[in-house]
Formats: sequence, structure tokens, C-alpha cells
Amino acid sequence: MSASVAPPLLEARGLHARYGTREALIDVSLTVTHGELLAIIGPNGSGKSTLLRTLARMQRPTAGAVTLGGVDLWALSPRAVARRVAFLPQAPEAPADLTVEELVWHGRYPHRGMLAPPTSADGAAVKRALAWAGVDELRARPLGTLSGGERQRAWVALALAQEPELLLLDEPTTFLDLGHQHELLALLRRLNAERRLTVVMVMHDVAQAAQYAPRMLALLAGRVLLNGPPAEVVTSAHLATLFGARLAVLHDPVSGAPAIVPAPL
Amino acid sequence: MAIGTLRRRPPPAATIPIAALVLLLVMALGVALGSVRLGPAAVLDGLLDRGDPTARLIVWQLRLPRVLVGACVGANLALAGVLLQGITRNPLADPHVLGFSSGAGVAAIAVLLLAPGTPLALIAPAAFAGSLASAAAVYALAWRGGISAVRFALAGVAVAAFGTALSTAVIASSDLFTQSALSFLAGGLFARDWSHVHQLWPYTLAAGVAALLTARWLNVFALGDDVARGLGVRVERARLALVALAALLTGSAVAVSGLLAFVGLVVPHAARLLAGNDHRTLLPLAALLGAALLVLADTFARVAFAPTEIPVGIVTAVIGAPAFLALLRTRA
Repeated sequence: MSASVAPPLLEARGLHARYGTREALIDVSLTVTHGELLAIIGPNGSGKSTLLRTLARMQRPTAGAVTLGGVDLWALSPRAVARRVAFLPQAPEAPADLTVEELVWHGRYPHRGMLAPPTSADGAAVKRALAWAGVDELRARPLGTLSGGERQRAWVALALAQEPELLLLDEPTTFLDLGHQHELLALLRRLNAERRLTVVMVMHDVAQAAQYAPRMLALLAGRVLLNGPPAEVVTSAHLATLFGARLAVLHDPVSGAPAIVPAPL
Repeated sequence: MAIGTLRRRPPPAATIPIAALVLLLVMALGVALGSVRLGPAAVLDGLLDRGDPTARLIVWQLRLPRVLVGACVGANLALAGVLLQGITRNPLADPHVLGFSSGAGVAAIAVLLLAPGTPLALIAPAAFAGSLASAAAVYALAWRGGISAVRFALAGVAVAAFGTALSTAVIASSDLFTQSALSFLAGGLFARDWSHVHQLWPYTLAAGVAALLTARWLNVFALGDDVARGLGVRVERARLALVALAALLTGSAVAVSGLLAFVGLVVPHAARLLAGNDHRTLLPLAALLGAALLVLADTFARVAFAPTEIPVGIVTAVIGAPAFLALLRTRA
């Protein structure tokens, strides 16, 4: 153990937070290191979204702290956080006639002064973001004319234009059809592998999460139940505890990807 | 015409100088037309304070101040409309609908009731205060550990309805049924002079410039509170500042013009149809169009049925509604 270990990218310690008047997080601790891809799973109302919002500085914890690179999130300004952390809420909405490129330019907001004209660095970041998210061909299209999958990729491009170290996504595949779900998750995994972008995402579909995320964090009633690789987390016994249902875990004979089916009686 | 590059034929930024030119022409028309019609030469002489003394008097004492008041009121209401539509992300929001002006009516009527015969000049400060108070009430009623756009709009509608009911009740149950109370509620620019210009222009200038500086906030607000927050906007603080600006713009305008509906609702949409959603273009364009619409409407109100004047609020609705519908059909 070296004495001068760099602080982890993101760390939560003893986190408590509310959703409305309900206590939604109870003593949650987790560490996210640079370059990780983490999926947060759990049943409805387990505190997944509240945890993500607390990590994104959307919501102040009632106790405990979140640190970004060792610094308390609430000691930093919202802009300073936005230059390092991008947050994509579930099903974000934008004016239908906004073009993809106009949307992505908003990602430069935290990097620009109130009146400063855009710099060449801003333009370059937008161009890169459009290319990496695979929407450069769509740049002139109004959002209202895009398919659900294209629109979600445009939102990812907005987040990339922030040039974040950490990308937080709340159920990014909601409302997408199966093909677009996998396309988006593959994109996120590629960004994680090739661009060293750290990704934390709340996932609804446990099997999908297991397929794409090397590490999973399972919440139950506001507490961390499990934290580890899919092989440890996604077991029939754990799923019974989490979801209160008898489920069996099968594995694809070719890829080894898990599939979850109702257990035979 | 609905999709792609054909959607915005004039580049959005080009609409601003065009609108400025239209405003100047409309203002010149407002100075030229009236019971005594002045030709272009007489208007120019009057403006340069030379030539025929009667023309000079008409231009400087009667028409120019009224035109300037109209331009400021129109710009204020249009800007307030853009701000409120941006804050609430609701296309039906405007200072009238959201109750930002309703307090002005209540205050004006209260003054007239307590002290009948109060001149209009003394009603103005009360109306201004009333308007700011109703805006503050909307904000306070919508606050519950934060402001949601929907709650803000609903609180505004409730305050507007309450203010209107209160005004109507007082008028209906009172013998002090004064002409000035009614004309205040209908809105109009009859007999507005330099004192009104001096009272209004600092607000138009200061709050107007401040509003233009909020363009990038409003652009980010359009993406929702969470996205705005995620991009580093202090959402509650920014929204409070925008609400305060809208209240100042509305209050200073209604104190001078009375309650004018419609301008703050329709002009932002017209501007949006012409130039798109980017508030950096939308705000200045709406200010120019609002000013032009109100000056044009007021000129019509003075001239159309001379020597009788009709309330300008009726004219803005009568000109504005069909023009707006025509825009909707051709551009949207």
C-alpha cells in the first residue's frame, strides 16, 4: 500500500438522501475509478435515480459526501463540476426544431463565458462529439425528425461536447427499441474503451447491464446490496432477493451473455 | 417548407435589421398621421425642430412622446413574454396570463376607490408596485423547495384570475365607477406625454439590456431544468433573476399603459416563427416587433375612427390575431 495513492475519480461515503419526504438512500458508499464502466441496478423505488442524481450534484445528500477527485462535490461550483461530469437525465426533452448541432453546442456552456464568442477549441470539441456519437451526418437535422435512437445519440453527443471525464446516464435506453438499445450501449462501451471515458449508468434491464458493464452495483430499499462483476451479482438467489421473483439465469452458449427467465415451478 | 434548410429562409440574424427598419418606418408613420396629417418634409422639419411651429408642436408635444411610449411598452411586454415563455417552457405564458400584470389593475382600482379623482400620474406608481407584488406572489406560491415550470404557470393563472375577479368585484359593487379605472383596465396610450417617456425608458433600457444578456440561460433552460443544472447553470438563481426582470419590464409598462393583453403572448411567437428558437436572436427581434406592433396599433387606434379613439388593446388583438394566424399557416 503506497501512501500517496491518487484519490478515486468519484467516491461516495455514507450517503443518505431523500426522494420527496422518503429516505431514498441509506448509508451508500461506492468508489468509481478512472476508466470504469459501472451499471447501477435494482427494483423500482430502490434509489437508483436518487443515487445518480446525488452523484451528479443534482441533489444534495442529507448526510455523507460525494467527492470528485478527492474534492467535495458541493465545494465546487456547478460550472466546475459540469466541465468534468456530464449528466444525461432519463428521457430529456428539447424543442423539436432544434438541430442536432445546435443541441450539441449547448455542451460547451460550462466552458464558455457569458458573452465570450465561441473559440476554435469549442468548435473542435463539438465536431469531435458529433463524430464520436455517430451523429455528424445528422448535424443539420431538427431533433423532431430523428428516430428515438438517433435522438438519444444526439444527447450523448451533447454530453461528450462537455469533454467530461465522467458520464452519468439515467436509464439511457428507455423508450428505445431493442436494436437501438444495443446500438447505444455498444456506443457507450466503445467510448469507455477507446476514449477512456468513465461511465456510470442506471439500468433497468439486468441482463443488458450484465452484458455491457464489467461491474454492477445493486441497490435494494436504498442500501447497497451487491457490488461486483456480473458473474457474482447476477445469480438466481440474488435476483430473488432483489426482485422478489423466482428467476433463473441462463447463459448464451456462444457469447456467455446472461439471459434471465422465469424459473420453472 | 416544413423541414430542413428551407425552414428559415432569411438567416435568423438578418431579421433584426429588417425589424429595426420596420420599427423606424412605423414610428415615422405614427408621427405623421393624426387629425392633422403631416407630409414627410413636415415630419422631418418637426423632428429637427425647425420650420412651421404648429408642426413642431404636434411632433414634439403630442405625437413623438406617444410613439416613444408605445414603442417602450411594446418592447417591454414582448421581452417579458419571451422570458416567461422561456422560464415556464410554456407557449401560452405571457405577463397577462401569468398574473404579472393583474396586481397592477387591483392597485390602480384601489387607489381610485380610496381617492377618487386621483390623476393618472399618481396611479402609475401604485400600478407598478401592484404588478411587482403579484409577480412576487406567483413566485412565492409556486415555491416548494424549488420551482417547477408547471407549478409556476398554474400559480400565475390563479393569481391572474384572482386579480381579475377582485378588480371586477370592486368595480361592479362601487358607485365610484370612474372612466379612468375602466380605461386603465382596457389599456391605452391616450394623452401620454414626455413625463411617461421619462418614467418608462430607463426600465426599457436597463431591463431590456439585462434581458438580452440572459439569452444563453434561456437557450439552456429550453432543454429542461436537469440538463440546465447538469451544464452548470444555477437554475433557481437564474430563474429568480429572469422572473424579476420580467416583473420589472411588465410593471413599468402597465404602470404607463394599463393592462394590455396579447402583445406579450403573440409577439414572441411571431418572432420565433421568423427566426427560430435561439434567444440571442429571439429577444432583440421580439423587442423590435413588439415596439412596432404597438406603435402601429396605437396609430390605427388614433386615426381609424377619428375623432374618437379606440383602446389600443382592442386594436392589437384585431391586427395581431389575423397576422399571427397568417404567419402560423405560412411558416409553421
